[in-house]
Amino acid sequence: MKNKKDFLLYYQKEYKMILDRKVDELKKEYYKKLKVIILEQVMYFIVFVLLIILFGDNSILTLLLIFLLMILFGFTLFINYKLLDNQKKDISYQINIVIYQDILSFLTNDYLYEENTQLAIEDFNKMGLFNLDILNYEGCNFTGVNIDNKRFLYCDVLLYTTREKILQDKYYDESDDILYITNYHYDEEIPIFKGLYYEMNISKKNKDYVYLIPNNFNDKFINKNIYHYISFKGNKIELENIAFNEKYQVYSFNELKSRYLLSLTLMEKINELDKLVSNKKYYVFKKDGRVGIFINDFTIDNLLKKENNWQKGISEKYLGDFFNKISYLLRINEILDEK
Amino acid sequence: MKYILLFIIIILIIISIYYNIMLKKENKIKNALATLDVLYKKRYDLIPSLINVIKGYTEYENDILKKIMYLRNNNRNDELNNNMNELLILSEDYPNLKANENFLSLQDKLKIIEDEISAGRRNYNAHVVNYNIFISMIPNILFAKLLHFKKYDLFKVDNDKKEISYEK
Repeated sequence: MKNKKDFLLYYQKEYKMILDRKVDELKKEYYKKLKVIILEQVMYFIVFVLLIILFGDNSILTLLLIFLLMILFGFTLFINYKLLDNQKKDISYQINIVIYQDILSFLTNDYLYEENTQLAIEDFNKMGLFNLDILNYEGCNFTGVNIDNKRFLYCDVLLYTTREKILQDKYYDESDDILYITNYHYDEEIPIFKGLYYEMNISKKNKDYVYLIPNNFNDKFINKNIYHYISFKGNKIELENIAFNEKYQVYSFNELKSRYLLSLTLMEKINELDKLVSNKKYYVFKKDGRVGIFINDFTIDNLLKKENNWQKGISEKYLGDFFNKISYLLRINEILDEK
Repeated sequence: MKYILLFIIIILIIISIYYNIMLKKENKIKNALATLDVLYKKRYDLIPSLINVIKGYTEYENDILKKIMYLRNNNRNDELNNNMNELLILSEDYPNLKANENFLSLQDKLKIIEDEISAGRRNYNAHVVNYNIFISMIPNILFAKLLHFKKYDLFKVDNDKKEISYEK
């Protein structure tokens, strides 16, 4: 697979011009809006001054007018500042989407990216790790990739549960000597898993489910009682790789099949992958050779929301880091599939 | 008298608990061995088909084919591994053989069986280690000696090349 060096070379030779052109188009929209806002504020100021001149003889009215117009002026300035800031972030996000898709097309000719699409809940549920009977599921940034006839997909996933909360408002009426209590009921969202779901196929065909659950000692997951929401099956199995056993618990009904699947080589590869993407991961190996990897606290959305300082120009360092993150994701397939 | 009887009953209960635990662990080892035998049998059945396909393409590699058949017929499963690998490496030199669909299918089946045998050995070793540690600990060691539970040897790969005499 092409590496960062190849990408930066491509950037210096061709891509810089293409990207600068796309950024300039988005910049034009921003500056157009900025001009409108400046004009708006100037208009408010002119109206403000004109009104003072017209009603300047009546001092109380003038003071009231000045006061009201100052509030209006300040309020519109604040709103416009927020709008501009949001638009800046929005443009940064759109540029990152452009960069993301361009990097994908540099690495592979065959990909599909849809920002607001999630993996179908039925397909997600087939992995059988999280209990979707008690969890709510949302997803976005669906990406399907085909490299060297190997297909895999990933998308951002949010699994959460809701808990009813009651907000109490107390009011004591002294005249009637009555205490009024109002209870406001609302649902609080508690995120259980927020991260990336990655699905691929491996050549080795397993004949039973094998689950790898990350060891959670001294981890915030314990506080969320994540085990209540995981529906894995099987008996706990100890394997030979010490570094692997420290990070993962293995569950399967068939010990022999789990050892067949989790060969010494594959365990080394999983350790190698942990060096590239250090976030906690859950693995599910299915009977038909499919593998589901749930990478905690790693989402495409976080990557796209990163500030890219587009006003001063996109730096090579930023592009290089962005490229690395995408290529690590695409390399998961290459690393794990034992030949 | 009552207390002596109670003491004897408690001792018997403790002995039976230890016996059951050690028997359970020992049975897991026997089960793992039995599984390995099944996998060896699978490989045993596959080898003649593979050799028949290869014979048609390789005339002067007959030595290794004879060695493999000898090891197979004498159930020398541990040494068979290296020789099978050697055979498959040699087959790389024969493009016609590599293109043969039958050979490719058999090669894939052999790879799966070899991986399963490797998993089977690891499985066996894991149960042996678990069992050996249990019967070596205090006070388990006392009960193990009393009830005649002995340590098992781990499966080891012998890397020394042995001289194999077979009919040339």
